[in-house]
Amino acid sequence: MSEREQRDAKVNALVLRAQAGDEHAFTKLVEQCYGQVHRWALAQTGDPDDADDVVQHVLVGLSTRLTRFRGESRFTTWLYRLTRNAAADHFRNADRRKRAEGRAAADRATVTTTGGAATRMEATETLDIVLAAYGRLPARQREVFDLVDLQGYRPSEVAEMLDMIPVTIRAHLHKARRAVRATILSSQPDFVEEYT
Amino acid sequence: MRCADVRERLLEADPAELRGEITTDFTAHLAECTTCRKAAERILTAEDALRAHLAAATPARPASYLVPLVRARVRSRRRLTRFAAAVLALAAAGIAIALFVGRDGEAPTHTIATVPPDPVPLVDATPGQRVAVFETDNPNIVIVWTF
Repeated sequence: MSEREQRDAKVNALVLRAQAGDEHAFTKLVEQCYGQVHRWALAQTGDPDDADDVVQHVLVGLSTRLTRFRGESRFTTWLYRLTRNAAADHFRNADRRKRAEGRAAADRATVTTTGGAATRMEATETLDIVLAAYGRLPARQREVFDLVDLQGYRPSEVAEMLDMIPVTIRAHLHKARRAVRATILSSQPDFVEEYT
Repeated sequence: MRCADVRERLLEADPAELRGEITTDFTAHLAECTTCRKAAERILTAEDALRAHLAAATPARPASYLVPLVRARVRSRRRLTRFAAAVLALAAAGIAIALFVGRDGEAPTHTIATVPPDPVPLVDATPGQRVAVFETDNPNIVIVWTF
């Protein structure tokens, strides 16, 4: 049994107990899921503060929604959809959207500056460049890239989580990889002409 | 494969391919060509840095206020559920009483259910004879035929 399957089995046991009214199990479930939900929320919002708001909304709402989970899909898939819906609700507020767009524009400006002058690649510069490239991916591409390449989910699993067909997941993944990697390589003197 | 093809494929290849974990023409070229391998390593280093950064940015445990908040919400929901159940039970009891008492608010004076009286024989037939009873349109007239 893989590490993820073991984690799933542990979570499923907690879900059953929490559904039966075990408050301790519910608290454990919240603690168990917190990191994962936060990571998903961060990938969708691109901002730690917004991610915190989304996580709080998801976990508080879980207390009322858990009884509706019938086990027709994996709990992870169901929870991921809750997180996506919460993030979408979060961004229905126009001000937040504007703030996020402003941040993306700032990231683009940073990349233009550092990318042109990056003759010496140090670890922090590398991270700045890749973070900026990741941050300005369209939300769907960032979501897929994060789940598949950074967190190690299989494209078929992500397709189920996002309620999309695997071919579409692949298309988003390839677009995201191209955007991120072209930025990484264009910051290298050896490849700057080839990838810009 | 030519370097130009490999450079193009670098942009979409699976990380396992970039690491050379599977054997293809692409990975064979990476093993031989220093420049292309350098590009692949550059991508892997940057993506590893991103992965580590995002993992570090993800809190392992919820903020201290969150768990009590969630617990309070669960308790509040339970109280609400119990209250709703009590209200429903009271409402059901009220409806039952209203139906029993009747719309005018007075208890009914008639008996709701009674034990039917023992049947009274209409005729005494001689043992061994058969009896046929015919009802007519007039409820006061019944034809009894013994044979």
